[in-house]
Amino acid sequence: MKVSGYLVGPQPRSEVLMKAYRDHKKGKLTKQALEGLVRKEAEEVVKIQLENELTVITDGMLNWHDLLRPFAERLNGIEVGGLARWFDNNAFYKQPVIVGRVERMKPILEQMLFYDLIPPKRLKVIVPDPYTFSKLSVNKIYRKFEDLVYDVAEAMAEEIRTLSATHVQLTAPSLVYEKLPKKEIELAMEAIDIIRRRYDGVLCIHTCFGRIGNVMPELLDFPVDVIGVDMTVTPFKDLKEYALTKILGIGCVDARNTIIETPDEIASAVMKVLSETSVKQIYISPSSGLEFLPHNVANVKIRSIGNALKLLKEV
Amino acid sequence: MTERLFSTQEVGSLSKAPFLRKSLSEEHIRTSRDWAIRIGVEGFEDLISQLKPGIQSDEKLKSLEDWAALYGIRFHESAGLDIVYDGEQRRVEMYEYPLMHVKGFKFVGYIKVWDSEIFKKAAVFDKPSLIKPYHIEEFEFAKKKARRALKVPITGPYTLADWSFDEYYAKRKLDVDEPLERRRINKRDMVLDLAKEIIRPNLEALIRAGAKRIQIDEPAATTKPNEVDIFVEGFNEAVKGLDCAFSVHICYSDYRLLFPYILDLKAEHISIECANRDTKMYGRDEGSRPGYSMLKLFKEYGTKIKVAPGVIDVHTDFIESPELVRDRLLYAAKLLDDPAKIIASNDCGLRTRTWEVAYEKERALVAGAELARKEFE
Repeated sequence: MKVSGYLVGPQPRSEVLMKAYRDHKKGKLTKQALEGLVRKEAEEVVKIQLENELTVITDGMLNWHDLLRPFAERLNGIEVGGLARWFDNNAFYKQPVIVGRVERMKPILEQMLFYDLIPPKRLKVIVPDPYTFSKLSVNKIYRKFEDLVYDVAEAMAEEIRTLSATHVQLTAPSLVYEKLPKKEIELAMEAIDIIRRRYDGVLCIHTCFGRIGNVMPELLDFPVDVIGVDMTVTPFKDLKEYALTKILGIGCVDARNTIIETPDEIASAVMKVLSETSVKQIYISPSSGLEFLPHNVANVKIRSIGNALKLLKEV
Repeated sequence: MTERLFSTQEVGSLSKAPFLRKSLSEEHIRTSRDWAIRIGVEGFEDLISQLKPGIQSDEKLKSLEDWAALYGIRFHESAGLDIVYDGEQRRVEMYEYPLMHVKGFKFVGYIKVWDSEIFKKAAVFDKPSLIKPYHIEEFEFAKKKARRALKVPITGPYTLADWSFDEYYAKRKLDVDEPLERRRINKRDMVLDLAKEIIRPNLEALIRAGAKRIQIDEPAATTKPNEVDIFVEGFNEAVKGLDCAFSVHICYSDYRLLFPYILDLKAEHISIECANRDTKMYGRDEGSRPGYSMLKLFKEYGTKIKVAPGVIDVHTDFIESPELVRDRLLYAAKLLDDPAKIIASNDCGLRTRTWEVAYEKERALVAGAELARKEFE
């Protein structure tokens, strides 16, 4: 068996950083001072992942207001629109409004990511999957939805190609939030294939806020190396029902509640998957980005994952 | 309760009165005097004589709350609204304030809602119990001072539950394999406990104190599509058998998800946000009034309760003209096929706007309702 760990989304900002963002908005703190604080906190996020022996490392995405924003702000043909609910959370994102042909004319994440903080060959980059991005946008231009999805996929593929990421995660809540028609799932798969053809590293799709059964069995054929599952909403039978041949990301640490999973509980969940399903390799992770939790609770949850990894090593 | 056609009401919060601030300047004091004269606050000279530029202590701010509530009441009354309240001048926030009065919850930290907007979130760790009803003092004061009918806003049980972490109900061992079904069972029990142990005693105390209208705020009602029935059950449990005109306010939501559950809601009216989704064009047709399309569902399902569609957008400084308000009301009345079922209201509380903008918007609401009424004379 091979078990490792990673994060699957943004980390929560500390109260100091939240205040800094508010002060910056009110004109009380300069952009430079804010960026300094973000960097300092990103260093801490990287440190705690390294200390807990997570395999690939994110920079915490502390400067992303939401998962779609860097792309909504920098891709041609898109404007930043009004607020909309982020799935079934008391959290909101700004809807990308599609006003022209979507194209990547300049780098998107170059200024956003703290590459230099992460050890060589361990950078994990998290972006929205093209179908989810398109589904959550307001389309004012494209006559056919699939043409939008393909153009978003082209733009994402071009961006990912230029990044030195070892591991790229496509976050895909729209694939599982409700059961989709087969045609829609196939569209999502074709869009990911556009990225796959231009990226050689480890490609992961992380599904959250919905059960994996909603996209099965089609998900088994997606051109990715890792399938991430939100175990806080997925019944175990969804994993048992199919022969899973890909690496499984098991999101068994609840990113939306403050009850702390013990290392024993996490290790048991992993052992159960390994013994009762066809899965051979696992990444332990939170169910989604830990951004829904207070900063200190998120850190305790990362330590729990780290301690579970130690326990499983002993096994 | 019989009301005139298109009766006008506010929804809840106003931004704080000009003097209710930690750091007070001469300008704030001048503004406080100007507003007092403009909205007719009696005896304001007493207040002004107490105000000194500089930092105001927490104790001092507390002592100014009655004045702030009086300003809130007169603000709404002088704008001409039929149903008023104090602009929630004493309250911290619609979630934190109630939970400060409830045992079984602890605040665990701040959470981002969007961009730099955050809220202080609590976790339930024990069965909730009420320390004491938390809106009585403000209601007693408002009742003493108000010259128009009052409507008290109170946060509902579903929203309190949905906005909290669950470290109590979720710890129980349930013999249920489906995680979403487990979550539903835990949430239902939490909502019903909050309805019975927290909200109902508050409602009873308010009714004993003389409240005739109570608005239960449930912005979270449609957050989880598979739990909308729990919101309705919680609401009904809280108000069961109580003699009062209850309404529910739900804003910035996918209203389609309310159906068909809303048919069972024991409310006199539902207040929803529409202006935010509408155009600024005049007209009483579908093309001009896209923000009101969801009212068709109320008609289609034969919903009995009245509707207070927001005709004032609280997220922009644009001042709606009385004619625009009129057209929105008349189109809403047309969709429901009954003008008596429409109440004129804002999308939500006006706390995000300055008093100047909020006042002009409320005056437009009143003038627009009057124009709409004329069409039926």
